[in-house]
Amino acid sequence: MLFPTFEFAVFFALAFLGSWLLRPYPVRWRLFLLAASYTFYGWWDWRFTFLLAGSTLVNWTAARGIHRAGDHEGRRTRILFSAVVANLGALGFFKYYGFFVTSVAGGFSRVGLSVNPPLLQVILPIGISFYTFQALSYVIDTYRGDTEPAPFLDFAVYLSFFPHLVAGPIVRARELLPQLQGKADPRRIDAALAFRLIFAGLFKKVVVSSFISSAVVDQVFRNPGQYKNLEVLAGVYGYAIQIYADFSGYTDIAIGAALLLGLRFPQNFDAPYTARSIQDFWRRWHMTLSFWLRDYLYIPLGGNRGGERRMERNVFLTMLLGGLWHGAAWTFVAWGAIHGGAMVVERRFDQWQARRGVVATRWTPVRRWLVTFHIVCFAWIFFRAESFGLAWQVLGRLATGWGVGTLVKPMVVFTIVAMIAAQFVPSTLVERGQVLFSRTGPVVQGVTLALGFLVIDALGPTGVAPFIYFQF
Amino acid sequence: MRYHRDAGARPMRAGHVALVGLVSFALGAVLNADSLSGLANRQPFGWKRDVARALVAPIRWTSRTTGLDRPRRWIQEVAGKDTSVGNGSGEFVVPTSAPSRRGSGSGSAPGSTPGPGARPGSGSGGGGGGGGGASPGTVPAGLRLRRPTSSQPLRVWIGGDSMAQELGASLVTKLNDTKAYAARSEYHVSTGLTRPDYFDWPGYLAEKILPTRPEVVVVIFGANDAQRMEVDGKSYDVDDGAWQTEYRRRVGLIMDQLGSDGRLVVWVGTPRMRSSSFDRRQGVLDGIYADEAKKRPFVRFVDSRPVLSPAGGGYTAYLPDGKGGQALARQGDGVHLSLFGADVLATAVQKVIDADVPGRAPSPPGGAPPGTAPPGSTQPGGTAPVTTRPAAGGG
Repeated sequence: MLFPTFEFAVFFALAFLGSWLLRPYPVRWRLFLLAASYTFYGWWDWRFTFLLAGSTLVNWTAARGIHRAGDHEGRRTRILFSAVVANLGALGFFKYYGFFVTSVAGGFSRVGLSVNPPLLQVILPIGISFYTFQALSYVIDTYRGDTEPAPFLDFAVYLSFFPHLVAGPIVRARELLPQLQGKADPRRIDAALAFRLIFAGLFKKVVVSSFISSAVVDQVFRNPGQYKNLEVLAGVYGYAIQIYADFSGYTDIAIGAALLLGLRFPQNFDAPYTARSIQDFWRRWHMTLSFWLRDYLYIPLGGNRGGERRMERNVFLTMLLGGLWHGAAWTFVAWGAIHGGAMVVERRFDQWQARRGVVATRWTPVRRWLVTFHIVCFAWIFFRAESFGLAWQVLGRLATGWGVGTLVKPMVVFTIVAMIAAQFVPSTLVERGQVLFSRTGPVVQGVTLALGFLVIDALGPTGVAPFIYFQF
Repeated sequence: MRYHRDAGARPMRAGHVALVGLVSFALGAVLNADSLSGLANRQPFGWKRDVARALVAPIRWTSRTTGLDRPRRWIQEVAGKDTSVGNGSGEFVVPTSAPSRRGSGSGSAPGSTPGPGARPGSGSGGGGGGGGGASPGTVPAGLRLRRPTSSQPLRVWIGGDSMAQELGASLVTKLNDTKAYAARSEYHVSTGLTRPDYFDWPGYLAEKILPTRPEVVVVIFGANDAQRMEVDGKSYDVDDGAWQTEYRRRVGLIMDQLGSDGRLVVWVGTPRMRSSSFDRRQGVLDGIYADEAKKRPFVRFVDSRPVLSPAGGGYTAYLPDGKGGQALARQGDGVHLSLFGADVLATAVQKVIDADVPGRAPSPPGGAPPGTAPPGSTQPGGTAPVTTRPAAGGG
């Protein structure tokens, strides 16, 4: 079930009513949310629900085992290790099996050895990367003593809660479990914020992402060799806009939907294309993943400990693995490597400038923004291209094939510029509108939202493509 | 962790939120009644569609009566939005008002399909204008392809449903690289020949594609077609005779429409599907394409099944990559092609096109006529022959 569909609108209306009516009855409320979440997930393929249930059972049991082991460090570590292996094993099988087998077979064939490994086309269960990371955070947090083991029903609701289930944001157990266990006041719903997020998300996904992908991005990345360099440039910038609109749109809707149910998710995007460094970019882009990678990968790898070079290695490895998390292809690894490499170079450059006592000028922020934005766009080429061959073709066409071409239409340029410019608009302006909305009556609010529906539906395509991040 | 700020906005009661939701849904439904109506109409034929249409009817009436359907149209007009998707007429006919440049018809080929408007079992359709391609009830003449040059390459259009996405991309690259062709592709997701109410392919071809005067047309349809179809107000399944007769008529109509002006039409069949029941139904469709192609001298049918499933003929996700390894040929849904799979199929299609184009056809030993795929043609990394249905008759 996709968010911007009629089915979801009906589903959510029922979920909203049921959730608030049952809220005074904690067990029934949780059972209701659980049923709603499994219905939402099973809408794609009911078989996936067994995997989700299996993940719930395994991770809940592991966390309980760790907690019960008390001071038996060896036992605690063994259980943690088993849980990590089980989670990564399932993720590896469903997501990386084909990639691994073909890469290994390809490697052997390059040195003249022929191997015929069993090839399976494994169906990737939607959202597995997201709920696996959430489950891992719960088990690891329990091991670290940061989270108390939760009752089974609470944990099952936490892991499967439909707004974040398939494409995040990655919500930690310690953020959501206390909310599930606490009482929510049905008289105090942050509905103005929720509606703002939902409608902004719908607009970004249905209008912006759909338009820019069909107008320029899909064509350029499918046949880069057929287009002039300005068309290819528009395709690359356009993809930067598309993936931002698509993914941030999804998480905005997810956060807004959860808010209407009385639950608060962390922010996942904060104007990422205003970043003035790659490090800054990752503090603004898919923030819940950045923090997850920091806490459960970068720090266990050693983090800042062990000197400058070791820290750089840890940063690079974290980004590399973060790239692989996004998809089972070497192009995603390259994307992660570009970000990791850029962060290392950026750090060394800053240190070199500090040693030389270089003073920032008024143009320094602009220069840094331009460089950051273009490194990010450069990396997106590898993220979007279906093969290295196509990525090189995109880059090749940027340097050759001079001309404007027919894809560079005023609306395409306007959309790209407007979406970048919108990120520099102070959030206080938007928040003022939010406050104003909250102070009007229900009829005015309803009419305002209906007009929002009208604009989004009139400008959107017939039918909505799945969100890009579902595949991750 | 950071959280979005409520910024001092006034919290609302759950009942207030429900009321706001109700008002916005109700008014939003009236303002977008045309969209809701389209959504209801696009449902598969059956009781759910009937219920959806019955529910939407009063909303649409209210919208039209109050004029609240206008703002949506204004917005779409101002934005210059293409509303051809989702707004088909429901009739599968070639428009008669579109200008035609085709030459005189050459009479009916053996087994020609009934003309547009004719119903299953009613025999040949009546005559009439030849708008948008072939005249109803007639089959255009055979191929008249010129010798392409790099300054005047042959114009090629590749289109169809979502299966045309990857195939089109790959084929455009391959053809354009030869400099003998100027190819372009487009696809319309979720479309096909069974639901003209959703997307009117004959109308679209007549209005948008044929006026660009393509000399070679490559199409792939069918992935969305194995669904119930309404014939004379009754709904039929793929396995029903009435369904197959009507689908055959539609396929023939599109072939005739595209084949005007001596154009080469390459019809690409759907590949094996992972789901066995879906695959069986697609097999029915492929049989119809092959049969109808056989009746027309200007149509080549490329059977993608042996191309993409060479080992034993069943669905296969991986194919030899030509470098000693295996590469993924299909997407995770078990339906669409991967980039590599599209390359394999595009190579096969290109061979079929080349075989008919003067100056591009390989000179086969024994003088095989143009239009016959090179015997034993193979795909890269594989050994499957390219199966075509070449011209069976003259004209």
